[in-house]
Amino acid sequence: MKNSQSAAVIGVGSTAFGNFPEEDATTLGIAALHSALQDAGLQMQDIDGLILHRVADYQRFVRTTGLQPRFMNTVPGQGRMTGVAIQAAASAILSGAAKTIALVHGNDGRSVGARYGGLTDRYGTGAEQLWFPYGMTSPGAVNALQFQRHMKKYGTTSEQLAAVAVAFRKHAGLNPLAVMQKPITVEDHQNSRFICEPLHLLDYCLINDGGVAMILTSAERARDAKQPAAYLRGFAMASRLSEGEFSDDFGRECMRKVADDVFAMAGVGPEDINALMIYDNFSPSVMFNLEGYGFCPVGESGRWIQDGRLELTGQYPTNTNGGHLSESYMQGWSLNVEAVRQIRADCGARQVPDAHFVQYLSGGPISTSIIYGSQPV
Amino acid sequence: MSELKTLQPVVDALSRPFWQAARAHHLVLPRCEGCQTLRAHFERWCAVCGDEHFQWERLSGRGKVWSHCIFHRIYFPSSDLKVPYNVAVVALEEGPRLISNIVGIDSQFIEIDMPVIVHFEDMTEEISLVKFKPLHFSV
Repeated sequence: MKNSQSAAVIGVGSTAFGNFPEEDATTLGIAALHSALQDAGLQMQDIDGLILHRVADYQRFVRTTGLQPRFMNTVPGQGRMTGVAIQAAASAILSGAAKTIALVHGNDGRSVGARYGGLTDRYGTGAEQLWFPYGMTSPGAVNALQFQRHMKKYGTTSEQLAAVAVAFRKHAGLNPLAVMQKPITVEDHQNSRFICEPLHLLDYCLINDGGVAMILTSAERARDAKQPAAYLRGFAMASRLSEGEFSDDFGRECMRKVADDVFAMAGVGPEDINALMIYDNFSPSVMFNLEGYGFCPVGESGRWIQDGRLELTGQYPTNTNGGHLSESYMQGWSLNVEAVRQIRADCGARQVPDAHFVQYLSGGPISTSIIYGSQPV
Repeated sequence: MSELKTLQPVVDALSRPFWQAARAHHLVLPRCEGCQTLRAHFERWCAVCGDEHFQWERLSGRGKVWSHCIFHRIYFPSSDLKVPYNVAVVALEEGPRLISNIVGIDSQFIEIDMPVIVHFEDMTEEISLVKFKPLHFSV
């Protein structure tokens, strides 16, 4: 579906991340939108499309911002929907349904005590009948069960997995917005307490409050933008929701389809990608994504991620903002914003040299990927 | 939900035959009359062919551990569940997978592909949980 036109990100913004009990998802989202507008040099009235994620009260959001969108949507609050939302915005721009779309994520997960797992979390097929009676709950446990299989099947170890958390923490130390800055070692990872064994505390993302916003428009209009644009050179998605939570192939077949489509659309391959932004709800997800999207051979991600391959000076600098593991769990949004900042060469000490193509990967069960480029098609 | 002591399954019309059978220490699952697919969840429609008709079928109770983990964090503070405890995904020999616990073995010794057999744990007059134990030995 190569298109002579493309969509582009012309503004990004985020709030601080942390514990802000005086804020809520709506106010955090609005603050992020103001920050993105300022970044783009735009006014609220320049926005004619709006997609909200995890902002509970869209009516208050629109009333408080005075927006009058002619294209509008809200998507469910799971992080798998972030790539879906961005692709919906890009499609709307390419179809002419809207000219300039704001995407806004507002997250008050920390201050409201959002819990992944437990009786209030309906995650899981038939959770209240088939999971809870056995003490089963949480996306983290699903990741733990998958990682256990990866260890058994391929000889992967928890020590190898530590390379993910160690690399992202190193990056976070170069990102003033990151909540966790103190460097960690493989030993720290191994000594951190088990949450759901074989996963340790340092394999889990950090739930925080914060807001993130992006502004998309057409590549044509982006030429007059205040900031260098980040062009959506490729985007694709596929889903494996119908398989349930336990995939025999770690979601690879689904990710493979997305990889084929996204690389074909962008006209580039894995070897052209300068940096990766991988949805790291838990560190094993990063390994599954690297295998699924074809960056490393199947089953070999444990060995492949060693020796700093995911670090700034490595072959594929990954989650240069610290990711969900060390910056904050902004459900993919902050990773997309970081991709844009890398393309713009706006990342200071954590800048990847010559970042012309940066790819966002999310593993599923709705797998989405976006390739951002520094040049239009 | 604050009085909750044990995590009893929320039984509804679609799942009642499953839990009634479990109380009689039989493992049953719905098999679609349209395409013969056996499913491990309780919905009206078959996700493969869309048929609404199904028969409850009694299964062997044998399977293998597909994967397993050990919970160290307390997610259900109001229940009497004590950490650490194991959770396993059991692949039944007929195909479907069930979330369960492996009993009769120290959690540290559970392994993927370990053969297991169903072991019903009576909770109340109405509910027996569908757990599994190693087929060949116990520790």
